[in-house]
Amino acid sequence: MSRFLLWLCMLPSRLWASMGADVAQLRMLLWVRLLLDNRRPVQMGRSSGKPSNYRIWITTIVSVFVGLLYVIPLLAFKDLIAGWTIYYTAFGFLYVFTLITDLGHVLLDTREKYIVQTRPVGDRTILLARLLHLFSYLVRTALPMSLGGWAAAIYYSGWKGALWFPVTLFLLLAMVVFAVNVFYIALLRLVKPARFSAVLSYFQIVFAIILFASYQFLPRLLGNGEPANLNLADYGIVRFFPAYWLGSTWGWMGIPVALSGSWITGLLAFALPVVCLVLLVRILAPQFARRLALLDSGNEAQNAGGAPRMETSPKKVLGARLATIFTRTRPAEAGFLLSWALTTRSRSFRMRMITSLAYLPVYFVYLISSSRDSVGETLRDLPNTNKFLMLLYMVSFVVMQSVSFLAMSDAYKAAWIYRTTPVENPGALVLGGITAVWVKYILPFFGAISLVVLSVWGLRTLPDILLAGVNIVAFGLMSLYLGNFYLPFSLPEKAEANRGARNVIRLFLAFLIPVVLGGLHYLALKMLWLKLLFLALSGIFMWLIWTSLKEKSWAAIDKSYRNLEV
Amino acid sequence: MSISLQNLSARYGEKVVLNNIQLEIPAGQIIGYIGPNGAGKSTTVKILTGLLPDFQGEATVAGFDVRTQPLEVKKRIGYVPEVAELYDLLTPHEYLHFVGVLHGMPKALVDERMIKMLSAFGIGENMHQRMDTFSKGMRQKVLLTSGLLHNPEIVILDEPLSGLDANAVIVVKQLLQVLKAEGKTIFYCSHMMDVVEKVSDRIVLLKEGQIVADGTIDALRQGGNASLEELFAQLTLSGNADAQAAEIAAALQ
Repeated sequence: MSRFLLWLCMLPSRLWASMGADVAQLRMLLWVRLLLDNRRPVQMGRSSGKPSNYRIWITTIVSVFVGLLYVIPLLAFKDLIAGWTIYYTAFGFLYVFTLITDLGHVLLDTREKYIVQTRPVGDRTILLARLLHLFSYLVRTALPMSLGGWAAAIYYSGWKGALWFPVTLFLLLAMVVFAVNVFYIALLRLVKPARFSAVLSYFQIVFAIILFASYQFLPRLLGNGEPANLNLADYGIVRFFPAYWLGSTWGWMGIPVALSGSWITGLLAFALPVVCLVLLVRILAPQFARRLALLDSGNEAQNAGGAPRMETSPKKVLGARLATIFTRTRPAEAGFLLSWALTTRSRSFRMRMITSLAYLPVYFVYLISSSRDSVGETLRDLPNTNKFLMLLYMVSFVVMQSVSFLAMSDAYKAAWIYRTTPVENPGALVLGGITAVWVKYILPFFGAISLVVLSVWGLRTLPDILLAGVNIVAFGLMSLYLGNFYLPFSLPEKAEANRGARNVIRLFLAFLIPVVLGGLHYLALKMLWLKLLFLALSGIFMWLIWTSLKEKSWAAIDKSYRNLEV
Repeated sequence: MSISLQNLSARYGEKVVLNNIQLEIPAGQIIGYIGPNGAGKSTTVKILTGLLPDFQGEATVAGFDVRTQPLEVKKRIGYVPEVAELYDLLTPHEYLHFVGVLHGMPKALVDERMIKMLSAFGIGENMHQRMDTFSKGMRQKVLLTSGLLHNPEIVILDEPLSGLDANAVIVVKQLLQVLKAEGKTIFYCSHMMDVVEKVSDRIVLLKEGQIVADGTIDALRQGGNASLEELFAQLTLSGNADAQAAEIAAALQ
């Protein structure tokens, strides 16, 4: 794929030469960029993952499938113009997100400045390499993503559709590139360079969740037959949306248009991208380049001489105060303080944790929504069900994940410090670390969920919330005991992929134990005395396992690491 | 003896990295522990600091067996590793507190020493800034502070001057003499021969896991006036340095 893209980009090499580029250098610059694209880890929102040699193929295949998803409205709606409007909305919206997150990596990578710009390479060659790289990106993502739409166009409009679809796709891409540029310029203007990557990461999370939610809900929403009867004539407001402008151009291919004025909206579909492109070339692109240069020099200023950028106030004592409440020994205190600070500042940890937490409500809504009832009916019935147990126990999955997230770090080599200091029982240190994570992330999250449960199902659920809370902590400690006993921030990111058999145990734990605990809890739902008994038993179990973990020795820790190496 | 190594051997798989090392270091000495890459210096340091429990022979530090009493050893040593690996998302204040707590030090004492030491190193003002923006030299100063914070009896330094500017190098060299005068033992690993020559009371030269020279710089010179660099080359370089340089230059022609 990389070779094909390189060949495609270098086809007009004479033109590039006439524009002042050194063709040999251009080819090599482009080749290296494609190679790096190919080897970047695939996971979303994470710096982890094995470097892949097939990234371009994987993203291509994923793009094809995502593109097929957009076609669902075309199959579901009787009004094809409505179908195409939703198709362009979904395609455009998600492609803006994709571009924003993917281009962020390229833009933030300032290594080129030191590697390439210190060599005798002309500005035009560098500029062309950047533009062709962007072009290759569009080809390898937008094209496969549009295959489903193309097939639908042929199915509904024959050869005319086959020819017309690429035109509308081009118009859509022009608008998308414009929107992405506007976003980046606003970002570069509003956000300090130090926060730039953090903002992008949050964007990735939102993107991942929207994608996930749309995968879960779209087929189900369309599957109940209602929207198929949607008539655009009842929604005149769509005339103001560019996606409808593009959709309405299908009227020229013989598809009936419910709303009047389709000629005007069709022409607007052509006019807007032209205006966008003019604005892009004349105003936005130069501004973008200037802002980007400032970003580079901003990074340099930070690197040179260690200019401070992130001042941390010594008065910030919340972590220290909480450490005195939640820990009893010095190693536990050390673990707590370290984790408290790093779990906020480590971007990879934060991203993982927030993503896991954010997925949970989506899963819950997906699980409770029924294909027969409407959303309104489902919500009305909710207080009469016992689905709050499902909501509460789903937190177990995040708790288990938090245990393995805590062990991983980009700076894992700094963990030498644990082994050169006189720490007798590393178990206490690990527990201190995980306590900090739970206090900071899980406790507020569980609290918020509890409030939802109390407000929907009433005060009667209070004992259930308590029992579920204790069970979840016990489960978290058990997963620490059985599979994830590592020092905080001591494992390389890629270690996760090497766990092999351990992963099986973890998966088993992840699904079976919360289900069993939740099942027992369910059986006790009507009997308060049984719930209180379970609460006491679970509390005792939690205490026992806590005590055992606290006493874990270096030998036990070493065993965990050895298992990882196998 | 402050440090005692008897018949110390270690191997990585089939490769022998330390071969029957015998070394006695009394308190209050600065030992320059030198050798070419792969000679076994880092392995020795790892054994002394408790990072490598898998070795043969005996190793005692401050009278405690490294194998059976590692905690007692760790209480008494201060270690500054070659590569400044630290949790750089923390501030020096937070990192040193973390280290202090691991050593069981009272918070007030950690604070007092940290402020004095970081200020003396000239980075007192940076105490509450995250270290991910620090230069290599600044990180090294934090690392040196972390190694000395608990006032150890024995200080193990692996390339401690790495990344430091000329003024900081002078300060650290002087610091070594002060620590020695206080009776501390300093185990100093480095490739910077001129510094080792100046600061060390005794030099131990390692080659292929074995000690090939052990004595004061004068004893190693055997009445001559060769520098430590020249002695090092004589004892460890397999070929001729001039010939190797000429070979590299010739490749460019």
